[in-house]
Amino acid sequence: MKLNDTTITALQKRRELIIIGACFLAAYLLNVIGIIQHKSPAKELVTQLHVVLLVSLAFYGTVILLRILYHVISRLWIRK
Amino acid sequence: MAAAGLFVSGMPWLKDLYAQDGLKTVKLGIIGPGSRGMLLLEHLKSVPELEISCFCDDYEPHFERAGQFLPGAKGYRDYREMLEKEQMDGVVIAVPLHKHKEITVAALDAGLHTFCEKAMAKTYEDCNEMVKARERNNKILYIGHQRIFNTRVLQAMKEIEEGTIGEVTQMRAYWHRNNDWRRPLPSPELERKINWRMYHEYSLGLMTELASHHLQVTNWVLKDKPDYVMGSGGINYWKDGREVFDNVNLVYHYPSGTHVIYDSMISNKKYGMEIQAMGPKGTIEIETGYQFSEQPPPAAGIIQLINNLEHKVFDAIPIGGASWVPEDPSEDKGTYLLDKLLKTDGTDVEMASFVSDVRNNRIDPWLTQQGFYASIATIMGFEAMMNHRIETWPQGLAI
Repeated sequence: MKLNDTTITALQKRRELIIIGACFLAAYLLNVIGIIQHKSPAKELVTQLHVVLLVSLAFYGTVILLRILYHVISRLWIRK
Repeated sequence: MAAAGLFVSGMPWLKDLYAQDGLKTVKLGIIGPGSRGMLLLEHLKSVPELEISCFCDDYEPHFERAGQFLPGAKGYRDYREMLEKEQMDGVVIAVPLHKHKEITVAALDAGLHTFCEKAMAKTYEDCNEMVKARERNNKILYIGHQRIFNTRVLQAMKEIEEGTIGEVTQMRAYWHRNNDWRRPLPSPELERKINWRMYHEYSLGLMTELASHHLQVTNWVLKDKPDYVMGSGGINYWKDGREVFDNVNLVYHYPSGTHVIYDSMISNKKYGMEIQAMGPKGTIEIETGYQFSEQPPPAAGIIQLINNLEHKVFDAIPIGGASWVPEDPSEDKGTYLLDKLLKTDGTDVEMASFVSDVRNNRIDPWLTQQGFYASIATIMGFEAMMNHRIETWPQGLAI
């Protein structure tokens, strides 16, 4: 089996970092809303960071799935 | 043992236990170095400035084993000879139940501080005679309820007394095993001597050998003694010629209106043993040392938010309100009462405490009272089951 070299460009890296950052911000915002809505102690802004990270990962995973779906549909559309 | 020091201030019978300066050597003897007796000796061996000067057993293998364990100690086959000939401060008694009263009264009348294994005795009268012997000789009488000295139990008591779970409105206790409760026999004619727990002539079975411990704790928690008990017992599995029940089921009523629901069996061990104290604010499981709140702290805000979103997305839309909601058990995992797991059951501290009290001639009738009330409660339970009647606390029995 022949394996090809792949190159991740600086632009791609930056785009992924921006997406990850956006996911983290969205998850953190969820934490803030949760604290306000449920009158939880403010210390949860820090103590629940592990949950925020997990939610960020879940968001990022969802974004990846949506992007894969978008690429698959686009390719099928072009072939037609 | 160090952890027990935390509770010393609140538990008067534990004070001075760990003082090491200027100790006077205490001389003790032991009567009945069988399996339990040897365990007591193991604990006594680590107590400073203590000499076990003599031992007594009428069963040859136990006599020989004790002789090897206590080189230099004088061995006797008759406890009366030992009490008569030996100069000592106190005696530890770990013989079968039916011999407790006779030997304890003789030891107290010989002027010795006495530790006797639980339960006190087989009958109300015998228990009372033991108490009277203690009073007339003004000596220490410990009954071997080691939970009084167990750090985990002490912490549970502290939490209950501080009102963490509110007023205790119900207690449940159970002790389940899955074995025949028999000891191996070197020869068949020793059946009644070795397996004395199986026969009414020597024991009240699960009540005196196991329930006694739990009833001591329930009396302690409820700061009272039961006024009546009802119950039922039987032999439904180990039909091997034994006389004592292999399952007992009892409800004790206390004057406050609180009940203790107790059961014990030896054909299933899934639930092991536990003593549960329940109140409007929470539950404490005393044996394992866990505390559960009726209103556990809510989950973090973000978790609640995610749960709410999940319910909104995935739950069915209700058309009308539910007419019945199942009373599912709380999912609260509870919090452990101590900082670290404790493996000892309190017997080590109990023995150290006995030696310390003997050394200081410190007589605490409360300790005898705990043993007395627990023993009376066990006999009440036995009588209720045997006679199929509600058994009330015998009039006039109190310390």
